[in-house]
Amino acid sequence: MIVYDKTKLHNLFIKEQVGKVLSRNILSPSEASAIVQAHPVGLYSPGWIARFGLFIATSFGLSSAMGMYMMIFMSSEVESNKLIGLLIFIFGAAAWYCGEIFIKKNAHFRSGVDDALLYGTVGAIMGGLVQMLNASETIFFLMAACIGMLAVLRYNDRIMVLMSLVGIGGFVFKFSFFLGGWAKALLPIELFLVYSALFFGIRQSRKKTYDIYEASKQMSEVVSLILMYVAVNYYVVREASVELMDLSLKAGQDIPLGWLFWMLTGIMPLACFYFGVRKNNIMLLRVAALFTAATICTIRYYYHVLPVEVAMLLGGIILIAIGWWLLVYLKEGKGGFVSHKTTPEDEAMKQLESLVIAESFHAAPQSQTADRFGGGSFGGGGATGDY
Amino acid sequence: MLDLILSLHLTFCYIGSNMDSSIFETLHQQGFVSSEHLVKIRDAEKNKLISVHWEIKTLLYLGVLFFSGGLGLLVYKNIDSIGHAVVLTFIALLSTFGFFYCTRKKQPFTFLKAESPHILYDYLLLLSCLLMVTFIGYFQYQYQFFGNRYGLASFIPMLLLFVSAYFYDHLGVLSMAITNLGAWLGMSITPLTLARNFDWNTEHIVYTGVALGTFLIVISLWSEWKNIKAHFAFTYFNFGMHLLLVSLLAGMFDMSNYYLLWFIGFVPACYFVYHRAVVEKSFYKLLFAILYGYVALSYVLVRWMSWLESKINDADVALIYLGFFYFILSAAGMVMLLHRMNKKFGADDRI
Repeated sequence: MIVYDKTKLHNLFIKEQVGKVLSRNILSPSEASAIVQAHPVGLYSPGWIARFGLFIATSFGLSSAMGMYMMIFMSSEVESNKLIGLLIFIFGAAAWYCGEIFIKKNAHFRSGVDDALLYGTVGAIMGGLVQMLNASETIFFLMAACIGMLAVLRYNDRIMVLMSLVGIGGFVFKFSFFLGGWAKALLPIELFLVYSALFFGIRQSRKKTYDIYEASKQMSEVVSLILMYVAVNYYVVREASVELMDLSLKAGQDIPLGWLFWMLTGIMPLACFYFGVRKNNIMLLRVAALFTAATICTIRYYYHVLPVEVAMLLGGIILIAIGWWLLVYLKEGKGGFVSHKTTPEDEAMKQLESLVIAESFHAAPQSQTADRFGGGSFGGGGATGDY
Repeated sequence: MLDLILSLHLTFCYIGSNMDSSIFETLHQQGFVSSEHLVKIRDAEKNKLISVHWEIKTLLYLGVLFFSGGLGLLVYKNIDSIGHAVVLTFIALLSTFGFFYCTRKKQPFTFLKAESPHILYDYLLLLSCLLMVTFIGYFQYQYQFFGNRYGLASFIPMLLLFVSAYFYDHLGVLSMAITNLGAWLGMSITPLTLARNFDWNTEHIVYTGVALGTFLIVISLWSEWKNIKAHFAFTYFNFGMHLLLVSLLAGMFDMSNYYLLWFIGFVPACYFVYHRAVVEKSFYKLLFAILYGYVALSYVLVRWMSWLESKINDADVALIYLGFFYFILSAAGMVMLLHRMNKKFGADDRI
């Protein structure tokens, strides 16, 4: 099913494992080099800088090729949308076929070239199909879910995981509108159940040992979990009910089942945090931090407890205090977590950090600060709220 | 949207696979791993410790961001009340305390790299610097300390930031100082504005950008040559490279009557970055030399083609095809070039 050479992928996994063990001085270098030599990888997967460059160059080439192709075949006679759709679809399919031959022949794996070819061709195929079939939104989401799933199985790509999962949600959304009545009224619960089924299903399918689809499974867990929260977040449910379901609320009125959504909005961060600590799962902890921020923003949106500057001051102090406490508490390592680095210093990360600092704290003339920090800094929580 | 996906990917999926001892069981059976080491590996897997180093750093960073932002807002909202002076004094005290703490904790000054004594030190220093800049800003606003010499009002904080960056050895403060240097010269050179604004439309800013970019690159080389905080060299070079090449491109686009002159200026600058990249085996610099160079070259070629089109009758369709051919072939060429250079440099991810 997968386009990459399975043996090579397995050897890559062995190489990574050896690297991990070697960095802790558990394995002797001679043993390590013997293992690596016996398991040649031979895949071309450059670092992220080269990957970025190759991605840009390939996407640029692909879009130029598409431009030229369309210029050759589009004449004034081709006016129907269906024909244009067919042309785009054929281009996407042909580019996909050629790309696959290229990837196999040159053993590219996450090199930027294969990423760009995948996204470009999936985009062209989907765009072409939508044009050709004059598809409704329901069909579009269904298509995104299916094509995304196929792409994940073949390329093990995380962005395709995201597309597929959002497609599933979109399809449930549109389909329940189509059914109307109870199906429409209980939409948040349905979405919540769908994504929790996905989340727990994928969890169950995780193998203890080597798994080709490890990366995709990890990504789908994260995305399902986030979408689970988004589906029942009080702010999202309330605003979506007003916007999309023509629910008119008078002042002081609550949405139906409001208590349930408030409860879930509050419980989800706590649950993620609890299981993150217990299961020693860093991913759950990061999600918990994101949910906490979103929940705080949600509460503040409906109950203006403190003026914004006091809230920011207090929040800052609390965050610094938590960070400080964690540093001290986890110094020697506790409950499977430790506060110091376990991998060697990464120069690129340090440079990136300094750029982030320069970006967020540039000059502080008076009135600008009001707009900047007030709105922008809560972006993490707000961004997920748009869905 | 892509921003969101990328940050999602970086935040949640950049975890890497866990250690898996079962693979070493197999390797042991095949005779690659000794029994003694296998036992150790099993132990390590059982007692594995997950590092939350970057998570803690993120918490501290957000804490500093909120705290300094909140304090700034507090002063701004109470600018005419009595509380204003109290808050200002509070800021000054806090900043002084922070600097005092960092001075006590810091390693003795050296022109080489001084390791940070503690994570908290980094963020306290950052907070103190921010509070100092805020303090000077409001002091000027309220009491016109520097009178109407606005240049001086932004020059002093910039200078203090540079001094702090060198004295306490902090890359983040250095980056802030460099963006403040840009602000003092009247241009915004924060990373995102550089990435977004390709043309600035003002000749004055283009010239300033060229000068400042060159200056930063010279400082970078000088730091390495004299071995004065040589680890700052990359930060200077990074700002300088982008600023210089973007400004030269902006000159080409904006003053389009003289684009060839600007192109002639661009070529040596771009070649110089390329040369440094090859000498240092830095793929990051190489990538941007190639990308910026490609943009400049394509611009010149497209200009020539449109000139040809105005000269020759009935050539437009052929020229458009020629253009497409150029873009397809050059993109393929760029892929091959990047691929080849990447293999040649060998070690990945050197910035």
